Amino acid sequence: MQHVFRRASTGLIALWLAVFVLLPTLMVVATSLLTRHDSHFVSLPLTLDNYARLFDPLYAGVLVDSFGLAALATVLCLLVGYPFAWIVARARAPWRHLLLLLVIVPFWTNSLIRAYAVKLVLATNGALNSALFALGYSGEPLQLLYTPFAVVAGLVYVLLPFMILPLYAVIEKLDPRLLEAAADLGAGRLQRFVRVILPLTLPGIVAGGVLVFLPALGLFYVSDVLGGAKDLLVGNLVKNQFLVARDWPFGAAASVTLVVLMGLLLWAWSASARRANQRIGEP
Amino acid sequence: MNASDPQPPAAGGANPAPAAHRDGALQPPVVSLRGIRKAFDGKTVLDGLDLDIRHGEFLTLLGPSGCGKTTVLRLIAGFEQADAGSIHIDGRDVAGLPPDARHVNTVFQNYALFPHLTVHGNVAFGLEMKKVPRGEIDARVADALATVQLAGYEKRRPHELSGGQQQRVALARALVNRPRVLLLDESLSALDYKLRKQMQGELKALQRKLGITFVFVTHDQEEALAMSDRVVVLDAGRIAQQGPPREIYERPASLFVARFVGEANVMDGTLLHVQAHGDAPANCRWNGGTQPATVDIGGVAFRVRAPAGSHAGQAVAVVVRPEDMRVYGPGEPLPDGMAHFSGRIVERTYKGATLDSVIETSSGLRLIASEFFDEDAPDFDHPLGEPVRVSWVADWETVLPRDTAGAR
Repeated sequence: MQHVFRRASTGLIALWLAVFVLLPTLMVVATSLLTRHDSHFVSLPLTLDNYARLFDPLYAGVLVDSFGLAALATVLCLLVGYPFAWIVARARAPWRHLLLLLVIVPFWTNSLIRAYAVKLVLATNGALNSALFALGYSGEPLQLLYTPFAVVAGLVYVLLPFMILPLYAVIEKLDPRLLEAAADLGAGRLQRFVRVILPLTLPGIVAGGVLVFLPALGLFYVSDVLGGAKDLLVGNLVKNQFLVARDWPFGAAASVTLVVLMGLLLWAWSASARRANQRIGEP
Repeated sequence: MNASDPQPPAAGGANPAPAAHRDGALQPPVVSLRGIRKAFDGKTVLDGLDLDIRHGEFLTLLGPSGCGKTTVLRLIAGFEQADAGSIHIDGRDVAGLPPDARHVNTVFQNYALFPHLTVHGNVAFGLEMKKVPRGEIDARVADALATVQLAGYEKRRPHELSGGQQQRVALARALVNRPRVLLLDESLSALDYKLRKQMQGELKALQRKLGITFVFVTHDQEEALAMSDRVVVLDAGRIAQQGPPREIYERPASLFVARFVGEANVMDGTLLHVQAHGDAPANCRWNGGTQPATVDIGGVAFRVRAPAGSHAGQAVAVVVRPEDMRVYGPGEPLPDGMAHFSGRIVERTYKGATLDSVIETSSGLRLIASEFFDEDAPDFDHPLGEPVRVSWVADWETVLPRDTAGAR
């Protein structure tokens, strides 16, 4: 009986994955190899032209810029998230739970809506400029919206929890006695951080980095809402090729390239995590 | 009161003082604590502690959990700051000095080895912090690992080592810095019985060889007695007694110490007669001497040595170790005129080296007697229920005033 149930459930999951993951992925890969057609979207012959076009400076530029913006957002998330995760992990019990809740609460609101909230803050007559004028600033209102700055701000805002949570997990596990031992052996604050804290929390830094960097490449609506009608992220390029330019094969090629690059990053991450685990070992 | 006052170094006692003591008496103390108070969340942990740690001695802080012994260690190491009082290390006031600026090292209870570093990396850590040249670091690390018998383990990670080996790495990691004082926090309690015994011997030998001052914290009285030059018994943030292990065991200053250090029969009695102080023999070595006295315990009069200042009619507690008790079966003659209780055996426990009997006296006392096997005494083995007479070796009792015996 149990045997039957297990078979049925694994079968169902396999079917689900085949229909909703494998098949669409194969369709995207197949589309990327076809030619654009005005009325049917795609048609034969098979071609690699779509991938070749990605090396066009225009599109290659989007790819490079997109990686740059995502990397910048990741670094900012790390700089903001690390101290925050440290404070949360070292806070006393009731405060720790409250702070963790504050990290998670934004998840309850759709991130598209939160992107609009950032827009209201950064707009020319938005909350930030109003606050500046109220404080006596009398120059031109700052043009923040529709700049790469606004996109990075939006990405950091939306993705920060994904950096904080894995960092919190490793910092919380960090044995405070190790820091006492380091101090006992003559290590000052900086030495304790560089020689003990950083190496022992590295798995969390890498995990947080991957969890922020990969989504940051694809969050097209953040760039749409805050960056204006520009292809700033690879995600925007893909979306616009499908919905605006109606060039499905090229959009599919960009999409497949993005998936392959993400896959490579994930592989690099798991390899480094395995190495770190080997190094630290199970206590 | 008298027990918490700094006592003069034990001189001319029954056991000759080790070399470290004689030197220590001439030198200023390595660590000196004065009037230390410390509370956590309003709960007093240390209540006006005074303690001098002499150069080269093996000092053990002994006490039940919560007595403040680990806090003393953490104050010396610099992990905690005292609420009041002063700590001097090598004559220097270390108030506000962080742990990394103090010339003491700690062996932590669970070792706290760095999991991301090799054995070599762990032991070299302290030297690297002090910017010791590479070549010297390697030589000193190799030397320290050889000292703890771990040569050849340099490239291992802590998780690849057994508990005993981790313990040795922790020891080497501290010793390689040549600290003025080595602080050991319950360092052996995570090891199993046999390994703990072995490490006790090794620690003691190492301390003698290196001449470094060891301050060892434990709740295990056997460990404390086995290793220390001096034992400081702590009770609720105060020093209950301090002295050489033998003095602590044989001449407990309070009922707390008597009960905490080893097993003890505690019998309530009343002093009937106390000889004048001038008549006391000259070999007094405890609490300003003792006086011959007679004590009534449950209707039987025993001759005992009462503390100086005792008076007739005073309520006292008479403490006798189980191994100092003597049990006489129906056929065994008692030494002439020996006062004794009559009773019967109610429990017997075979312990390998000894046979422990519980005797209930006719006056209702329950006494424990621990007897070593003796091939020449055929009727040594007392059957349950046998009527016996019980006494103890004359003068091996400790008489404590009842009023100070109140605490536990």
